[in-house]
Amino acid sequence: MESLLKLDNVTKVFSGGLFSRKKNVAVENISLSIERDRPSITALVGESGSGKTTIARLLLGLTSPTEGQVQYNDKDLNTLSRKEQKEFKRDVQVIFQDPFEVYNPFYKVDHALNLPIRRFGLTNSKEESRDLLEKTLRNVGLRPEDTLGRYPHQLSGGQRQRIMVARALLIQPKIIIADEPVSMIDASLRATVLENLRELNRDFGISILYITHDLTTAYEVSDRIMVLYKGSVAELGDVEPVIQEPEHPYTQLLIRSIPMADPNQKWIGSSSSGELPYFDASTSEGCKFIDRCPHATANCLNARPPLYKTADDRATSCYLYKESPIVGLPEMSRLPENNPVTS
Amino acid sequence: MTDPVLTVKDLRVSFQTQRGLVRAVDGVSFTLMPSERFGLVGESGSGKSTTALSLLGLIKPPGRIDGGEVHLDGRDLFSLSYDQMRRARLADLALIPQGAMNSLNPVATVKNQIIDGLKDHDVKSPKDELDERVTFLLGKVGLEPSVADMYPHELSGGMKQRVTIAISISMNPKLIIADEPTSALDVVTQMQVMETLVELQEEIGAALVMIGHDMGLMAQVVDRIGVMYAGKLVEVGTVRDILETPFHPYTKMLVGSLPSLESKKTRVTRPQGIPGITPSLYDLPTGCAFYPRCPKVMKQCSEITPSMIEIEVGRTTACHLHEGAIEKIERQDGIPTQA
Repeated sequence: MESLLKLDNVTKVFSGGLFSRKKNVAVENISLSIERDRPSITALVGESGSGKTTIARLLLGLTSPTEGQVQYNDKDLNTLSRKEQKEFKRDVQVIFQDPFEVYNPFYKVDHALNLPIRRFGLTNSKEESRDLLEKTLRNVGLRPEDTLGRYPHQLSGGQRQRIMVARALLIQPKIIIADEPVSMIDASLRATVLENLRELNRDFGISILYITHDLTTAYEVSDRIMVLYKGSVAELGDVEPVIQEPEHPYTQLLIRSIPMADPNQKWIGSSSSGELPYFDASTSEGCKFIDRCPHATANCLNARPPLYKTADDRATSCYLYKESPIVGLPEMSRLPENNPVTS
Repeated sequence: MTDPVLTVKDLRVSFQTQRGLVRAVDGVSFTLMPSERFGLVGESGSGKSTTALSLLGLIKPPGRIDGGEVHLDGRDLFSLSYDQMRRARLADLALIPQGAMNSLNPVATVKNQIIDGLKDHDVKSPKDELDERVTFLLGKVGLEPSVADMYPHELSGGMKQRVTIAISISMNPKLIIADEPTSALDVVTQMQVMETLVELQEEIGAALVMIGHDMGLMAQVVDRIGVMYAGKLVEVGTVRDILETPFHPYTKMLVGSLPSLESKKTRVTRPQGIPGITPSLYDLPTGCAFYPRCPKVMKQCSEITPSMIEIEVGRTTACHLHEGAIEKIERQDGIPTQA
């Protein structure tokens, strides 16, 4: 069981500027492994400030960990040779949240698409490139004549985002890290783009790390899920039990808070917590969720809860489950041996 | 029977751009009863925000209102002068903008921003009474009095959105227009902010027009939904009507595309995307704008623009399929409509 890309016990601390003593722990002791041979779709779910985008940036080598290692083919990202770096850049592609920042406004969008074709020598002639581009754009629901030859500011956010999906499709990498890829896309196309991601996984064997705040789309696309809260794992495992019978009080709160398109659900008036107390638990020694948790006990204040293995393929970081055996995150964040991914 | 508080009739708004004329809103009509919550749902470019801005008299060149009528509490808003409209805003109809982050003044305290609106509308009170009013309004939206002296950057996203809600209700308007009020908030915060908004809207008895694309949020907040596509309303009905028995094929597919948390093991259907892409407003198809993507397209769809027809009381849709249905009922000859 070889891992292709892996976070090994990674912590990332941002310090609050030159004169500030405030430290912001964005990611704390996170392990995550994406395997070479068994392509999977893993969802990384959390609210703003949960560290999900920092994890994406760590995996891409855009920022280096304060502690721990990011490994590509079991080698530290910092020690890759030039050749390995190029391989890494081809193997690991990204779709970012904000589809405006990723374009150079002085170039037409064609530039962003032609660059990888040239750099990785994907085609042999201009005509071939054009055909490939048009085919890929149609795959994500875009009309080539409406998109090619345009500048980024002439396109809508949704269109720009879909070009980024097309770009990732073009390169056919081994891993796509998709950071909120559909949050700026129209509802009618959201399902289509998510289906595209699933096809990439199924038909081309590409592993996908789907980063989102939206549990419903996470449930739709992924096989496994990791719920983050303030930089730590709250709960992880097979997506079906985690969503259908959430264990961690935070996951339960998240699921309760989703307004569903179901007239029989009663959402307004069902929030129990009311106003949040102004108490930042992220710096405390204990559980980070303690300030919002209905089950909090004095015990939760003393130390971070370890991961408890509550079922074959799931674990929860909450003292409510202390009867279950303690398990390490590196072990749990791998795909289980006996569970071939079906999607 | 009570009269509607808001009547929008055949609203048409266009933008003259370098590439040509864009009909952003094309013949939109709907009414709202007092205290009713109405949701306008649509994709980007469907005209939902433009509809909201025209109610507020905030369409700026190159945009212009080509026609239609908007009556708020019996008053014709389009006949108001610039100054009268300025007075009507906030006092009679208030906007809760999208992304509170960008709509508050970064260099003014929360208190001054709330008082600003009141002063502009000739609310003349001694200073301590105004301060009291600010504390009262902040309390209404669940914020501490100390927030009054804070600047926007000291507040979280949810708190900022609460401030904009406080401003919007500061003069007890008859109509609140909320343009994706929670789209920038986390899901837990969204729920709490929405609860505050609905509670206050009910308390002051204002009607609410909520703009958005999140069908889940709409389903939980509003009473009736209007579905927009390419500048037109294509269907209006109660939340239950729209979600459970949608008439228009677009509504049907939109509802069918929604992700859900229903167990993947037991559910019958999986969410399906709508094929094709949103038409460009520069180059709308003739007839029904949805026909190139419609699975039930018929011959007349590309030729004749379907008009809104009432199928049941309070349920309208603009689709040739259902014109046929009505004809069928009228003629009672049982000839099925072609599909």
